[in-house]
This record gives sequence, structure tokens and C-alpha cells, in this order.
Amino acid sequence: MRLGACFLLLGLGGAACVELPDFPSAQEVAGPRLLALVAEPPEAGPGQQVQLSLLVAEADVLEVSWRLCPGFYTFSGMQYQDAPTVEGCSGSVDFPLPDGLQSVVDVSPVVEQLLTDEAWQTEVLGGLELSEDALALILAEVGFPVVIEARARIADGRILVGIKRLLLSFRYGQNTNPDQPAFVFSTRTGLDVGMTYQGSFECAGSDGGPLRLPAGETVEVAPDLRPNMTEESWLEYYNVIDPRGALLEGRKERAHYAFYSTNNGFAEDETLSPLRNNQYTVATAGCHRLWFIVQDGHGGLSACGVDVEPVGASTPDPVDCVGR
Amino acid sequence: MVIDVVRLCHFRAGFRGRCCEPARTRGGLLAGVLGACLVLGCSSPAWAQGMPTGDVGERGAVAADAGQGGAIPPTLLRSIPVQVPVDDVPAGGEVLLVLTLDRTGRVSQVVFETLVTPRLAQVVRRALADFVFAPAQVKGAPVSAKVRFRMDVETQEPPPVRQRGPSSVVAPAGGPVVTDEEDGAAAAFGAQARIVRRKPGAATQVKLRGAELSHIPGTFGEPLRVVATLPGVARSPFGFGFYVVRGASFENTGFFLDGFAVPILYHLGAGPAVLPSRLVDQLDFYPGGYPVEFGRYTAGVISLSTKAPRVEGPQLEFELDFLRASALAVLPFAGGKGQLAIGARRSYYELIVPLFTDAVTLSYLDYQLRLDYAFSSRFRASVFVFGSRDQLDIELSTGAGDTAGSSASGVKYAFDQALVSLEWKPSERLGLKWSAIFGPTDLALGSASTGSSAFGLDMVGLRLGQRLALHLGLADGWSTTVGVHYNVYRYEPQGDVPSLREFPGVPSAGNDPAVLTVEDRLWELAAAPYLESVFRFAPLEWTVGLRLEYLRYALVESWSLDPRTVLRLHLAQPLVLKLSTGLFTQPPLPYQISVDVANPELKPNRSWQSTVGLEWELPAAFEVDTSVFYNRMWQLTRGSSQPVLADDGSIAQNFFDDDGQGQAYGLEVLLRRQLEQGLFGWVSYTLSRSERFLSGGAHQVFFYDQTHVLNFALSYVLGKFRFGARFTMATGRPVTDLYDPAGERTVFDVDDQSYETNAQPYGVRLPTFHQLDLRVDRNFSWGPLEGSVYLDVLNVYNAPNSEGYQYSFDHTQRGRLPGFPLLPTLGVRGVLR
Repeated sequence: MRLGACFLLLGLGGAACVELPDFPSAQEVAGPRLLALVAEPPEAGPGQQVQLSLLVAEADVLEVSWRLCPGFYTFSGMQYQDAPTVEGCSGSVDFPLPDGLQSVVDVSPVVEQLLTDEAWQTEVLGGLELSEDALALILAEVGFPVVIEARARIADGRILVGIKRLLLSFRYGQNTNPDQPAFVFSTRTGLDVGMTYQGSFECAGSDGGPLRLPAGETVEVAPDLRPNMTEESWLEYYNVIDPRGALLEGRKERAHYAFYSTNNGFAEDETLSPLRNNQYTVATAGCHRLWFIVQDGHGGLSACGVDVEPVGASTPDPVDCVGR
Repeated sequence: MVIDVVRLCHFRAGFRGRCCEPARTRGGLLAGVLGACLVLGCSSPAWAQGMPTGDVGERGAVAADAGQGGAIPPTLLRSIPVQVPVDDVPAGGEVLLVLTLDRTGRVSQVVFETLVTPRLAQVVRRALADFVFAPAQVKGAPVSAKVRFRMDVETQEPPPVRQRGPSSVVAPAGGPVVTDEEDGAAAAFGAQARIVRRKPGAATQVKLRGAELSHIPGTFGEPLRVVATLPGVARSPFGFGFYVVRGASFENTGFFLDGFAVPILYHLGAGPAVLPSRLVDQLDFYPGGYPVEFGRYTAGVISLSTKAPRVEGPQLEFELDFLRASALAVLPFAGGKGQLAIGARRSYYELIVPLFTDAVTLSYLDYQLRLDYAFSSRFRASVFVFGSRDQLDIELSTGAGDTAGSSASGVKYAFDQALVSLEWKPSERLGLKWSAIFGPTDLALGSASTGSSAFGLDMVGLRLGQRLALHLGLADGWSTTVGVHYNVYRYEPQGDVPSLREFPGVPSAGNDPAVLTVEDRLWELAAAPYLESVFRFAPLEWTVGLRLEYLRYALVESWSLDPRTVLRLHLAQPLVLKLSTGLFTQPPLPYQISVDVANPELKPNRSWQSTVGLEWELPAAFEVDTSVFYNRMWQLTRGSSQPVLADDGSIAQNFFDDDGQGQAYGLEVLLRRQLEQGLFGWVSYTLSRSERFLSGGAHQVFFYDQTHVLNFALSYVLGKFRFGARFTMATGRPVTDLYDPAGERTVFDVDDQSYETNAQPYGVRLPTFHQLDLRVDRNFSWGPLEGSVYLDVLNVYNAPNSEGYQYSFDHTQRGRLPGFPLLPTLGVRGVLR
């Protein structure tokens, strides 16, 4: 086989006949992980407040510090020349936010700073001087992204850092977050198991307890679309400025799902509508946990975690997930 | 009794004895003649470049066979120095002779088949009178014989003093044979004949021919890949043959085919070059400071000269290996004045790849048709039509469960080019050469996946280029070349491309950009008149060149005056001091100037290159060439996400800017043994540093900078075997290392579900690369079939090299991207006559 792979190597110019590193899957949560930051709402204008919260898996969060800043990547998602490879807030032009497991952004002073602080504009636009009219147009039509950074100190002393964008805009019909995660787990025997959102990033089975799924079986995991819907009901429309400077109106969001588990049981780490379904292989024993991150591709996000309790002949002694 | 063994032997500035093809024989001595041809170390032209025949040992072995045939042709025993007046060199640089040798081996009659000047005829006759051959024999008795010789003469002018590679040739009395020819068999004639002079306007030029192009291990017989072993060239990842020359980027080094830039170099899938090595006559590598006849590249130039194999009768060549087959038919006509060559090569990946995966479809083919005709010794013409087709398709299943789908992507590349050349040399002081190239190219990319927008771009191009060069020998010690070189390109990119880098830049995990429809038509006109004068006043040779580069593309119209000069001072007989400096201009690449989706106002890249060096000729065909270089680069095209204001005040992006700057400097050393007695090789070493300037004045190391690059290449003929070795050692290139085991520098970007690590750009280097490659060729002969079997083994001791790093999703684990492991390749080449 190795020789065969070498032929393939010659054909494809790849590295098929050499040993590539075997890294763990991104979906497997083997320790503390910051999985989500949520801004509610993800797009806001002057006079509004934005609630910030974060989801950390497999760890107790002791404290969280929040910052808001313009960012090198906020304009186009790519850095401009000479910028160091910096993600998150550099500290030079940060906007202070309250610390805590949750925080809040008062948008009005942030917008004022954006409109008046040249340092901010330099950070975001690489020194490009925009007229007030142009800036106002951007705020009115597409929104101006800033970076929210969360630094969470967990029980073992480590600090987990995550970022996401917050859109500042005066736009009518501002973006909202997707509905809370809701999936249906279908077995080969025709059993459908649903889940509900409990609040605080926590989901549960329909009965309020852990998801009880047949041990060792591979089940279909499908987003629970509303009745008679062929796609997610929460998809919205938004505008962008394309690279040529043209305003593209009416772009529709697209649902994206990220899957995490403690037993590496998902077939795919992430799916994208319309290929939104996934498959999950239930562990044969032990209580496991799943997390679902639902995104709209335009900054909107919802997330939750749920316990899975394998049931069936292979698990004569059902595991009690309570207390996890 | 006279044996009429009309043979074709090859001289160079005097003569050399190779390539002896029996044109006709008398006395039923075919077998003996064939054997005798090998006795003389002769080979067909096919062998000359691709399959050299042996050394003394091999000849001895075959001589016995020849003796059984009853006839032994004449063998050259002694030659004398031959001074060839360059002004008398005929068009095409070759002189055909038929020599009659008497029973003592003396030349008793000389017939010129090529029209030559009286002065050249006199020089040749005088020299031949002192040549001594071992007479032909039949059953042990000496007999008279006729032999056809071909004299190849380089077209350079003689230097005022002895240069590196003398034009005046001295054969050591009774000493070993000396020749610069590519064929070890040439040594059989015992003739020293060598003119290896650089183009006067080149600061550094490495010329490779024949076996040097196709027998270096690890290059898979590809002439272009040999360049990787030369000084000034940084190693490219996986050795794929995209060269970083003297610290400049890949695209700043040009590849020319008979004077015209080639549209593509290699077939897809790590395939071979689009032009088979059998049609490559010579490769000239200029790591910098190249002559004014070339332009539009700010670093080096790799120039290939093509030529069909020279044959006496119809000939069919083929080559097979695991991945492809090729054939080349050569048909002479009109009494040898004309020659038609038709070649084709086809991969058969589609027979092999499905054994391992159904997801990939890969194929390529190329073809060549070449017609050469010499109307006279002073006027010749050629037509060369060549083309290539490549296709790669990958189809994968995506998703899982009930909503699974598929994704497909592909690339297709095709080109057809016709190159016409006329060369006229009405007098010895006047030469005129015109050539033109015309043909389309087509690059198509596409991708589609279930539920997503389909993207595709088809870039159809059409190129017309012409060159006209007039060479004037104005006076003794003064020659001038005046020429013009222009290209007109038309590109028509059409298709749907993703709208990358929209504003606001909120990364999306799904990455579903909008569709931008591109329907552009780009014209690029590049015209350059040039003038180069060479003044030779012993011990000085001074070349002054001027190239006026006119470029018009997108929204840019640009004039650049690029002066270049090379000064060569002959300090002592074997020692030459050289100095050069000059300016160079290069237009941006087509995709960088698209009006629709790029920056149509990019100015041309510029560079100023300077070198100081020494050339030193050593005994035993060794030579040393050293250079210290400094290259300053500005107006470099660079990727940029800097937003700009559109004309209407809106905010837009150009993707590219032209404010990149940088510098590269270093030392190059080449110790080379010219091919002699079946042995050639070189050791090259480059110590260099390449940097790019950041705004604010900081310097950042260039991402392909390699402080030390050492190459060793050796090839030796022993009997029917040719053994080759190549060793490469190079400092690892800089990389931005994302490895963060404690997660202290890594941030999780929630919007696109990815981990980003703050790291010093190009802050660490990959481990030092080292690799040994070996190759052995074994010749065989079965009746009319001759050929060789070769084994090329890459990375013999399986060095665990790293071509890059790979990381776990959160960058807490790091692994290396391994280089080629030990990898043998077996192949066979053959010639059927």
C-alpha cells in the first residue's frame, strides 16, 4: 500500500507515501475548551446594549475579562502588510468593558469613538481616511465590525481566549442570532429523539434529562427545522460591499453547524446547509457530552451542550449523567 | 581496396569524434561498421544527449566484436591545435567534411560539404594535414577509408586573450583527450576542442548541454530541474523546480524557449517539463545580470535552446516508465538539408491512480513537431510547433447522513505554440535572425459542491511575439547587436469567482461568498528595442547594453530604460575579474492587473543588480566561478488588504499593491569539472540573505531565504554504465511557527471556528535539508534497437527532511510535513533505427 501511495504521490505531487502526523480531531473535547462567544444582538446601533456571554466546555470559569477593539482583521478578514500576526485586541486602542461571566456593551460611546478616533480608523482601515459621509454610509448599509475579546481564567489557572465580531450599524433590520440549537436524533429503528434549550448554553432531552440514545449505534443528527420548512427559519438578509466597492444587497445567511463531543463520535466536525445533517455514533458505555454551535455566517451564533446517556443491551447498567 | 565508410563525426572548434553514423557501407561490412562506430566511441545524436556511450573500457569490449566482423574503421590518434577564426564561422556553426584517409592514417583528401570561406578552408586543411588516424583495417590489414566529419563551431568571437574556455585549443602531446562535449564517447578521438564563452553581456552564465541536462540524479532527466543544483538558486519545496534565484520570488525568474517566455513549465501532478529533454540542445542559466536580449524579469533567466536530434537516417526513439510513455521520430530529407521531427508524450496516470483512489483523474500529453531546413550554409529556417494538455479533476463526497453530497474541483491547462525562426548570415560580419511565436493558452479552474455556488474561471490567452536581431562585426574588437523583442498578449478571463474579502469582514465558518462575474479583456504590449556593444581591448572586455522597455497593460503605460554593463578584466592567463551592474524591469502578472478584481494600476517591478566576481580556470578541465551579488528590488507587487477609495468615494480593495521593497545579497561559488573522459560534475555553494522591507524601516527575512545552499553533482561513465550522484544540503526556509503547546498565544476565533496563533512572521527556520540521490544508466544494444535502462533513486539514505510544519487544530501539537522518502524510479529509453 505504501508503494501504491508512492505512485499516487508521483501523480499528485502530494506527500501520500510519507507518514503524516496523526492529530486529534477538532470535534473531540478532551479538556477545557472555549467554544462560543455570543453577542446578543450580534449587530447593534447607538442607544442599544449588547449582552456578552461565553461557553466554556469541561471547565469551571473563575473569571472573565472582556475587551472591545478595532482589529487588524476586521476589515477584510486578512491582515494588511506589515501587520504582525495578531489576533484579538492588541491593547493599544481598547474600549473597556465590564468583567464577569457576562458583560455588556453600550454601543453609543463605541460608535462615537469610531467616528472620532483616528487611531481606531487607522487600526481598522489601515490608515485610509474615510469621509464622514462614507463612514455614515457604511454604518447605514452594511455595518462596521469591531472585535470582542474574552479572556476566561479557569480553575487550573489557564486563560482561554476567544474573539468574535460585533457589527455596529444604524441599519434597519439588523442581524439577530439564530434560534437556539435544536436537533433530532433518528435511529435505524425509527426512534426520533429531540432536544430542548434550557438556558445558559444548556440543552436537554425532550424530558429535561440527558439524551438517551441506543448504545453503540450510529444515529442521524438533523437540525430540527420548523414544520413544513425546507431550511432554517431564522436565516436573514444583509448587505456587503464587494471588493470593487459595489454594494451587494440581499445576501442571505447560510446555516452552519459545528459539532463537538467528548467521545469523538460525530462523522463530521461541521456541516453547512443544505448538507446540514450529521451522524453520531453513540458510545457503548459511559456518559458523554455533546455541544452544538449554530451560526448564520454573519456573526450570529447560538450554542448549547447536552449530555448523552447510552442505553440498550450493551449497557446493562445505565449511566446516570446527572451530576456531570 | 577502399572501405567507403562515410561517417559523420563531430567536431567542435577543431573537431571532436563522436556521433558517427554509417551513411553507406561497401563490402558487406555492416556489422563491422556498426561495431566500429562504437569502437570510435561514436554514438547517435540520441546518445549524445540522452544515452551516452562508454569510455575506453567499453570501446575496447566492442572492438573485439568489431574485429569479428572483419573490419575496423579508422581511429584518431593525434590532433593538433586548431584556431578557428570566428568571423569565418558558417551559419549554423557547423562544417561537414569528407576525409579520405590513406593506409597510414594520414588525411589524403578533404572535401568540404559545407560552403566555407577560403580562410576557414585553409585553416581546416592545414590542421587536418597533421591529424593522425590509426588506419582502417580489414582482416588485420590497413586499408584506405573515407570518413565524414562534422565540425561544430561556437559562434562567439575569439577573445583578445585566453578566456575561460580557450578558443585556441591545445591538445597535450600524448596527454589525455580533452573535450567539453556532453558525450563521454567524444574522448575516443583524442581531440581537444572547446569554446565555452559566455555571452558578453552576461555577468554569470552557466551553460549545460547533453548529459549534464538529463543525467543528474533526482531530476528525473528534466533539464529544468538541474538548475536547482546551480549557485544562486534556493531549494524549492519538494524540489519541484520553481526557483528562488538570488533571493527574488518565483515569478521574477523567467524561462525562455528559443528566446520567448514559455507559458507553462511543468505538467500537473509533479510531472515532467512540457518539453522533452531530447529536444533541448542547451540550457543557459543566468542567475542575474543577464544580457539585454532578455528582459521582463527582475531576477534570473533560464534559457532553453531547442534542436532536434541530428540523425543520418530515419530514427524512432521511445521512453517508458511507470507513469508515461513518449516517442520521437526523426526523418531527414533533401540529402540531409532538412529534418522533420515528430514527438509526443502521454501519461497513463488513469491506469494507475484508480488502483488507489477513484476520486482523482489526472492526465497530460504533449506534442512536438519540428521542421528544420538549411537552404544554404548561410541561410536556414525552422518551424517548431508544440503544445500540451493537462487535466486534473478531484471529486469527493461531502457531508454525512441523509444530506450527504459531493464536491468537485478541477483544473485544465492547454497551450499550442508555433515558433518560426529564420537565420541568415550573408557575410562573416553580418548576421540576422528573426523569430516569431504565436499561439493560444487556456487555463480553466472550476469548483462546485452540493448546495454552494459553483465557481469557475477560464483564462484564454493569445500571444504573438517576435524577435529580430542584427549582429554587426563593426571592427576588430568591436561588435554590436541591435535587436527588438516584442510580445502582445491578450487575456480574456471569464467566469464566476468568489467575492472574497467583502466588507464588513466577518469571517464565516461556512465560507459561502457571493459570486462575482468576471468578463474582462486584458491586453499587454511589451516592446523592447535593445543594443549591445562589445569592446575588446586586451586585457579588457567591456560590454555595454541598453534595453528600452515599453510596457502597456491595464491602465498603465510605462517606459523603462534599462542600462546594463559587464566588465571583464583578464588579470592573468586563467584568471578573470568581472564586474556588472544593470537595471531590470518586469510587468505584473496578468491576474494581478485585472480591472475587475485586482489592481490595474500596478507599476512594473524593478531591480538593480550588481556583481563582482572571479573566474579561474584550473587544470584537468576544472574551473571556478565566484560572484558576490547585491540586488535591490522596488515596486514589487505584493498582496495587500489595504482598502482604497473608489472613484465614487466608496471603499474598495485592490488585493495587490506595488510598494514592496527588498534586497538580496550573497556569495556564490561554482567549482565545475567540464565533461571530459566521461566525467563531469560540479559543486555549488551559495551564501545569501534576502529581505523585504516593512513600513517603518524594519527588515523581514524573505520567506524562501536560505542562508546556505550546497549542491554536489557528479556523473561518470564506466563501461556500459553511467553512474551519477547528487547531494543537496540547504538551510531550512523561514516559517511562521504556530506551535503553541501551552495555548498561551492562541486565540479561538468563534466566527469561523478556527484557532489563530500570534507568532513572529517567519520567525523560525525549518531544519536543515539534506538528501543524496543516485542514478545509474545501463546501455544496451539489440540489433537496430539501442537504449538504456536507468534507475534513479531519490533520497538514498531516507533522510527525514521537513518541507513544512503541520499543526493540530488548536496548534498545541506540531508535526512535520515530510519530504520525499527513499523513492526509486525505473525507466527505459530506446532508439530504433
